[in-house]
Amino acid sequence: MSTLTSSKPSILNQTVSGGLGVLGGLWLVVSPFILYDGYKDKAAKEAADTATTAGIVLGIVAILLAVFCIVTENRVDMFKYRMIAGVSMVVMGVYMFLAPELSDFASFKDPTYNLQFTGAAFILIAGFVTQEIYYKSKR
Amino acid sequence: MSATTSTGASTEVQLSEPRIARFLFTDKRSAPLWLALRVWIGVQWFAAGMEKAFPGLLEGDLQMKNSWLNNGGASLKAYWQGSLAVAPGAKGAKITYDWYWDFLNMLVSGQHYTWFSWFIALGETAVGLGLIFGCLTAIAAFFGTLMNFSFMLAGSTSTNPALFAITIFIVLGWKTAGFWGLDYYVLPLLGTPWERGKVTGGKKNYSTPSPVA
Repeated sequence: MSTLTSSKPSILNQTVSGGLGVLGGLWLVVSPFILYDGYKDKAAKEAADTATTAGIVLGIVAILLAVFCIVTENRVDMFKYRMIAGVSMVVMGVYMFLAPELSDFASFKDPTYNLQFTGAAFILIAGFVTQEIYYKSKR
Repeated sequence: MSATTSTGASTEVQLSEPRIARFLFTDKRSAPLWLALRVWIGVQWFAAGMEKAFPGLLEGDLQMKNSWLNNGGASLKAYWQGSLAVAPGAKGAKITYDWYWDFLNMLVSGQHYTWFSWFIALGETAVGLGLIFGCLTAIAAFFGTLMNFSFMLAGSTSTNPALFAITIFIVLGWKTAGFWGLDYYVLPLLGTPWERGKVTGGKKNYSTPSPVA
């Protein structure tokens, strides 16, 4: 919490949060093969396939955005784009809550909980860090 | 809270909120936390409401004949009659309180399930949308807790206790829960009954709450 009141920008926030974003993206890509591979029921397999596709796409996008934030963290001219990347990760987190209903696999608990927990992590981490950087830039 | 000193002078003691309460309920920097909670709860309400009002729509196979808007309240009537099957106090009773049993009995006897089913189906959907988009968040949350409370009194547990407990906090965080949502615009425009907004005749420079120092 002290970083929120510090007058100096905290690079650690961006490095750590970017790293967590990469880990989160990797988890989205890998988790379908760990958690919900091997369903035998046809409906469950279809739901798992849909969730897997969503996870892989979202995971790759998250990794790209997080790597971008880490690579450009010292570039003041890229500040606006880092803000956009942070907000995009928050929006992705919101989409992860909606995806089970929109893509019709909400009745299957494994993919639903996986996406929702990961989505909550994206919203909280990307949200707090992006917000902190924004308010510091206003001072 | 007041007290009297030895010289007879009265003193007033003002109790301040703990820092965590100020952060959660007053500081707009808590917005990401509220966004995650709000969307999680809102999706559940939205899905439940859509399943009642427009069954199958989200799966691409709309079946209006099963809709609560289309069956004359039959589903709600069956639910209420299930709750009323055993009177309070008897073994197997779902309802504990006599007054709530009498209330549901009155609704069933008067065939109010015909319009009440619309209220519940569309209400759940509206609560879900309000929470997801952060529009009039606390009002949506309040009606959500009202429905949770009613369902619990009728003997249904399911996810109601968890949703009720979390949504109460969203009601308490009315100033900040919708900050990352449409309330960012709506609250300054509408204001509150005790402090009008731009549209309702309030101060011209009304602004969203600033972080508490």
